[in-house]
This record gives sequence, structure tokens and C-alpha cells, in this order.
Amino acid sequence: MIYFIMATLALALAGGLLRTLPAPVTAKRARLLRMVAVAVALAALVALVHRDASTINLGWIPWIEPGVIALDERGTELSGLAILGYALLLWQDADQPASAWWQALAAPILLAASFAALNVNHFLYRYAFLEAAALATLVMTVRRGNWRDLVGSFLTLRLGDLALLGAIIVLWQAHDTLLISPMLAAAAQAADGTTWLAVLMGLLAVWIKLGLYPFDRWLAVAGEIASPERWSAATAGLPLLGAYLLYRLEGGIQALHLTTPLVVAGAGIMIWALICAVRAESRLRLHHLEVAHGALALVIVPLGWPYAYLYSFMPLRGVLMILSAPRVVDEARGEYADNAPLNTRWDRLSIAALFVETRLLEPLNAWVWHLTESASRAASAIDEHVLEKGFVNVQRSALEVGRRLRRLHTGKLRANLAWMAGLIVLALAFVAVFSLL
Amino acid sequence: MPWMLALILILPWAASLISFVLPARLTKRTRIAGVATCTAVGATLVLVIVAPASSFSLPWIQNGPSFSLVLDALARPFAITVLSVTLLASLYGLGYLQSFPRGHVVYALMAAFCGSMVGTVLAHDALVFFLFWELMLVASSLLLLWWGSGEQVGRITFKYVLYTQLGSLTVLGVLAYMAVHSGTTDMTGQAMAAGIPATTLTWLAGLLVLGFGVKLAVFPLHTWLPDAHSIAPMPVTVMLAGAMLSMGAYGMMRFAVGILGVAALQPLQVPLMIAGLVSQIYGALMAISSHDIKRIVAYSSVSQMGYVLFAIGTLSEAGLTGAVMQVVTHGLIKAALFMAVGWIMLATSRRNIERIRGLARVLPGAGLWLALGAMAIAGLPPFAAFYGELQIILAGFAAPYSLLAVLELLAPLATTMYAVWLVVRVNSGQAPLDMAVQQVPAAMRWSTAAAVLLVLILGLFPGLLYGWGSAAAGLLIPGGA
Repeated sequence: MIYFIMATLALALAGGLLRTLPAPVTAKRARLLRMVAVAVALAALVALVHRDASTINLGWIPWIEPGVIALDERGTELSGLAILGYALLLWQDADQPASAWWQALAAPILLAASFAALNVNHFLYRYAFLEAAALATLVMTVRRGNWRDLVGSFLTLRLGDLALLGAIIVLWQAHDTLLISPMLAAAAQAADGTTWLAVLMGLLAVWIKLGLYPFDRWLAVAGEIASPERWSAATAGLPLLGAYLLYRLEGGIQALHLTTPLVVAGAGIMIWALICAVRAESRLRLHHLEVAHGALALVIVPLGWPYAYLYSFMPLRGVLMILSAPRVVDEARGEYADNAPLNTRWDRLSIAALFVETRLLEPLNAWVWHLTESASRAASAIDEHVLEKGFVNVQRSALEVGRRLRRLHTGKLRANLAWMAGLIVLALAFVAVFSLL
Repeated sequence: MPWMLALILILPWAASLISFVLPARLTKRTRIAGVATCTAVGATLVLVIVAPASSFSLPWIQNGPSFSLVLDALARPFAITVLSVTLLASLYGLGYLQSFPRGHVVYALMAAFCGSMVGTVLAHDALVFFLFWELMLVASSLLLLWWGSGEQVGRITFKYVLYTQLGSLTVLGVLAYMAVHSGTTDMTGQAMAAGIPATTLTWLAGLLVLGFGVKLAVFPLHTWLPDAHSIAPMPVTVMLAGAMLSMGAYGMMRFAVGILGVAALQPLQVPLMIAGLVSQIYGALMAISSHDIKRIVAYSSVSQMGYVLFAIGTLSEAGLTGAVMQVVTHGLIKAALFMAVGWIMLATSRRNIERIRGLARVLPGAGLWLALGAMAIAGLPPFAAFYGELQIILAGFAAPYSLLAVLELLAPLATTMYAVWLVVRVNSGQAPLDMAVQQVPAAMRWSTAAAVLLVLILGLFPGLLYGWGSAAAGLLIPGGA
């Protein structure tokens, strides 16, 4: 059964690639292929429902204990949501201009990586799949002229992955296993310094994958640059994996009595994000709402209701997208009415949703506006400093330090020798002091 | 099988001789020399991979050392690195060097350079080791002096020779001291360290680290590297970065760890780990602040060799395994990156990164391979570098200095920063209107692709890499540490 699912995912991948066929030349064929890809994705979904005990053994890193991809109940159900999201993406992509081939390929890779990450029982292999998912997410969101943002996003996501790797290594060394369940159970039971370090690093990974402040930049970048459909897939993929990771860390969180701090932090971020959402211009509103939805995980999952959150994840993100998609908002206001006729079912549905949203939320918005004007201003300022200037400053500092270092050794032989000699003396002095101590 | 060992040593030198003496009447001397070098180096590579562990000894100096060679678990991965990188560089040269004056002599010196490095790792007598160590310098400095580009070739070559000679003299001094005290130059076991007091061994180990550190090009002994790398013809740069730097790691592991022993290095553990970390960060910062595309990749070597130094500093079997894995993968990745950079430089006639834009559109092949090479050097799975870095981080956490381990965990972030930055800067935006792009020879394109794919294949089947690393570490620390 699991091989069938993997085969269907591979076919979906091929379908994704075939989406890049130039539409004017082979419009009918491209449409047919898209339908086949959707059907294949749905077949995978049906197969997931009738899961069996078949497994795929992973042993490509031969010196560590092997891992297994099995159709675990929770992982299977979440994979089903991801596959459904992908099928919707393929369906909706009909309205979009053809993507570059590597972008079209990234969506099914994200799907396959998410499926593997959700169902594998081995932490190091899961790390590898999460890296693939992060890379696919970024590739999906690349757009002309946004390379600087891409670098920032990639660095942020890599920080989360490295934190997770650190947690894995710490737990591996302490409990001598890489199998997720026994490892986390042993960590929860031990509840010692190692568990603290591992859980904190794991939470950093969760924070980043959920796109919570101040690590939400990658989410904002994805939101600003990609089409709504890709945006949906990209933002739902990694945050879903982040929420799932939080769910897996639940034992450690409870053992270390971190539930209350996490709930408080989650509630705080939610309130902050809602304030920002209310104050934000329409194109950024969804971003803040997604942060709030991510923060909800910190409230719900540690309190012991993870399934409600995990299963409502994709549908809720979809609803958020419909309510706040900038194109839809702009169209509804008639700004692009002449240039962008509302001729698809999707658009009409969105407009209806927007109508409901404006009617329901406008009074609430006005009320919150008056109450939180000053708080919101402060929030925006801090947000700007922490999120944008902070990151830019890190980059600038790195650049500046590099420049200064380069000035120090000028490429001239004499200066370089003096520079080298000085540093060797310093190193020797350090060794001497260290030895004495 | 001694004949195999002899053949492994002789073949590159034979290719060098053939390339050198090719008669002037041959119109395609460079190509013939290139094919001869590729064939000889390729055959040697196969021999090194398939040959069983063996030794070979010939009487050399009367009542003195014999000409001893050994292919053991430590020598094998380093020889494979040297030969793979040379093979890739030679294949690349079939396109890159075709218009070079006296291109066949470049090949002759490249083969000699390779032969001297192979001799260095096979040598089992300190005198033989030093002989090949110095031949390595002769071949590489002649390549720099005669075929280097730019106005400061003489000065930079002098600087390169001076730095590496200072390192060599330090090594020579230590080897001489050990030979006098132990009465032997035989590199078997710890014979050369016999009878030397423990405190002196630590000092000797420190001096060896300094001496070999120059070749390894770790901070602050690295300043010859960016200059030498940026003037050399690209195939030579590939060899300097991918193969020659590994000789520093080999020397440290063979002499400081293997012969002097882990106990001698114990007092230097923290300084070594810190120096490794500093080198990683420093190299990354210098890479991100450079404008010359070749120097950016060159500085990344300083950063990558920092990983190796940190790994050696952990003084554990896991760390040494990681160090060997890192050396092998770094060699191949660096070859891939420099080859992609050479492709870009030749196609655009530019090397200032501020003036190169939009390659994703106008030169997608080079942009793609550069991007994949950058992903590999950033340690992303499934590229091969991931496993070496994983071993090194593991060894760091196993060592009794958690803070250093956590810092080491963050080091790949610095690598990611310059790797992504490099790719982004050249691929993004619109290509400048005045940037003409010309086609480069197929040999350059295919060899670049081969280098990247090799790194990917090693990553998909990492057991081989780990096998080399763990066997080498097992040899240096029998029973583990």
C-alpha cells in the first residue's frame, strides 16, 4: 500500500512538472494532464484512508539505526490533508500563468517531503525530509526581484532546522536512539538538563516553522510574492509540520512544566498578531492572521487538544486565504475591475466570502482600532525593529566586520606577516593562559 | 600487492613526463597531454580504490631510511581526494587550457603536482614524506609563476612560497627533532615519538599544528590562500583548493594525532576547537564581504578547513571520522564551485560580483551548478557534506565543552549565509546590457556537472564515505576515544 502511495506521489510529481507545458500550444493536453495529476493525488488520498501495515525501510545512512516510513494513524491523516491541499493547488493553477519548471516541481516535492516527514519514525531522517520541505517551500515562493528576501527567509528556516538538529543530537547522545517515540519518551522521563536543552531547541524550530514573531519574515515574504494558491501550499506545508513537531514535543513540555509559559506566550502573540492584522493594509492582513493562527498552536497543543488544531489546520488556512487574499480584496473594491474581470468560480466565491468578512469584521475592526491605536503603533514599531531592521542589521554587521577584517590584512606581504605573527602570539598567549588556569 | 602501490606512485609522474616531452610538431599537444593526464590519473584512482592495504619498500640511503610507501586506511581517502580532484581539474582543462600557451607543460606540472601529493600520503618514512611535501610546493609555485594572471604574479607567488616554506621548515624542525631523539624516521606506529617526554610531545604537537596549519590555510595562517587562488589558472585553483589544502589535514592527522598521540594534543584541545570555530566564522565573513567571485569561493576554504580543525580538536574517533569525511567532500565541492566560477568568468569575461547579474536567465547551466554546489557546501541533505558536518557536530557534543558544540552547531548558518549570498548575487536581477555571454567548451560544462553529481551520489550512498572516515579514525585511535 505504501508503495502505491509513493508511486502516486511520484506521478503527482510528474504531473506537476507537466504543468509547465506552454498553455497556448497544448492547452487541452495540459488541462488533461492536470486532471490526471489531480486524480492521482486523490487516489493517494483514498489509499491513505485504507492504510495497511506496509512500510518502507530507510537505511541510506548505514552507520545509524535504520528508520521506517509506516502509515502511522496521525501522520496518515495529516498527509491526507496535505495531499488534498496539493490537489486543490493543481486545480486552481489553471488560472495562473505557467510557472518555471523548477517551481512547478517544488510543490509535489514539498508534498512528498511532508508525507515522509509526517510518517517516518526516525528523527534524523525526519530532519532530512524537513530540510527538503523547507527548500521546496522557498523555491515555490521565488519571484523575480525578491532574492534578498529569499536569502533572509532561507537563513531563518535554516536556523530552525539547525536548532532541530541540535535537539536531535543532544537526545541521541543521551538516550542512544534516533527513533522518535522512544527518544522523546525517554527525554520526558529524564526531564534533566539535556531535556531542557533539547526541548528549547525543538521549540525554536517550532517557532520558526510556525512563522511566529520574530521569525515570521519568511511567511511574510511567501505571502507577498507568490500567487494565492502557491502561497496556500507553501505556508500550510511548513507550519503544519511545525505544529506536528510541537505535538510530538508535548511530553517533554509537560515534564518540564512549560505548558503555562507556552500558553501565555501563544496568547500574547495571538493578541499582538490580531492587533497588527487589524491595523495592517489589506495585502499584509493574511500574514498577521496566519501568525495568530500559528500562535494558537502554542495555546491549544500543550493543553492537550492537539487533534482539533492539527485537523483544522489546512481548512482554516484556506478560509483565511479566501478572506484576506489581496487580489480578491482589491478586486472587490473595484480597483482592478476593468483589468481583471471576475470570471472564475473561485473569484466569485472569494467575493462572497469577502462580503461576509467585511460585514462581520468591520464593526469589530473599528472598535479594536480605537482601543488599540497606541498599542498597535508600538507593536508596529517594535515589529519593524525586531523583524526587519534587526535582520538587516545582522547582515550589515557581518558585511562590515568582513570589510574591516579585510582592511586589516591588506594583501601586502609585510602587513600580512605582521598580522599573522601578531595573531600567532595572541594564540600562544591564550594557550599559555589557558594552561596556567 | 606492492606492484599496485608502485604503479599508483608512478602513473601520475609518467603522465607528467609524457606531457612534458611531447614534440613541438604535434599541433594538439595540450589536448594529447590532457588526455594522457586524465587517463593516468583515472587509472591511478581506480587502483587506489580497489587496491588492498599494502606496503612497499626499497633501499634508498645507505645505513639510512628506505623508500617506504604504505597504502593504509588513512592514506586511501586522501589519495582518493587528490586523484578525484585532479581528474576533474584535468577534464575541465581539456576545455579551459586549450588556448593556453604551452598548455602541455601546464598538464605536465599538474600531473607532477598530483604525483607529489599522492607520494606525500603514501610515504611511510618521514624523509620520503618531506621530499614529496617539498615537490608539491615546487610544482604548484611553478604553475602560479608561469601561468598566473594579473600584475602581481611574482609577488603573490613569492608570498605563497614564503608562507608554505615557513610552515614546511617548522614541520622539518619537528621531524628532525623526533628523528634525532628516537633514532628513526620510520612512520610505523608511534616509533618516532619514542623516548620523548610528554611535555615536549605537546610542544611538538603544537608546532606541527602550526606548520601544517599553513597548508590547511586556517585562520590566521591563511593569508597566502586567497591571493594564490585568485591568480592561478582555474584547473590549478581547483587542485590547490580541493586537493592541496587536504595535505595540511593529512599531516596533522598522521603526525600530530597518529604518531605523537592523542595525549600529546590533549592540552591543546580547547585552543584547536576555538581556532576551528574562529576560522569558520572568519572565512564566512571574508567570503560575504569580497567582490571577486574567485576570492569568495577561496575564502570559503578557510571556513571549511575550520570544520576540519575543529573536528581534529575533538580528539575523538567520531571527530576524526568527520574530519576525513569533510576533507573528501570539501575537495569535490570546492572543485565543483571553482569550476562553475571558471565557467562564469570565461563566459562573461568578468569576475567582479557587482558586475555579474542575471545568470539564471543568460547562463542557466552555470547558475544551476553553482547553486547546487552552494547547497552542497551549506551542508544540506542529501549532499555529501551533510554527513561530515553531522559527524563533526556529534563529536563536538561528545566533547566536554558544550558551549563550543552549540557554537559549532550554528557555524553552518554562516556557511549558508555566504553560499546563498553568492548564488543570489550572480543569479538575480537583469543581466547588464554590456555583459556579453559566450559559449564555453563542452569539457568545462560536463566536468562541472560531473563534480556536482559526484557530490550528490556520495550523499545518496554515504556508507562509502563513512567507511573511509571510520577506518582512518580507527587507525589513528585504535579502540576509539
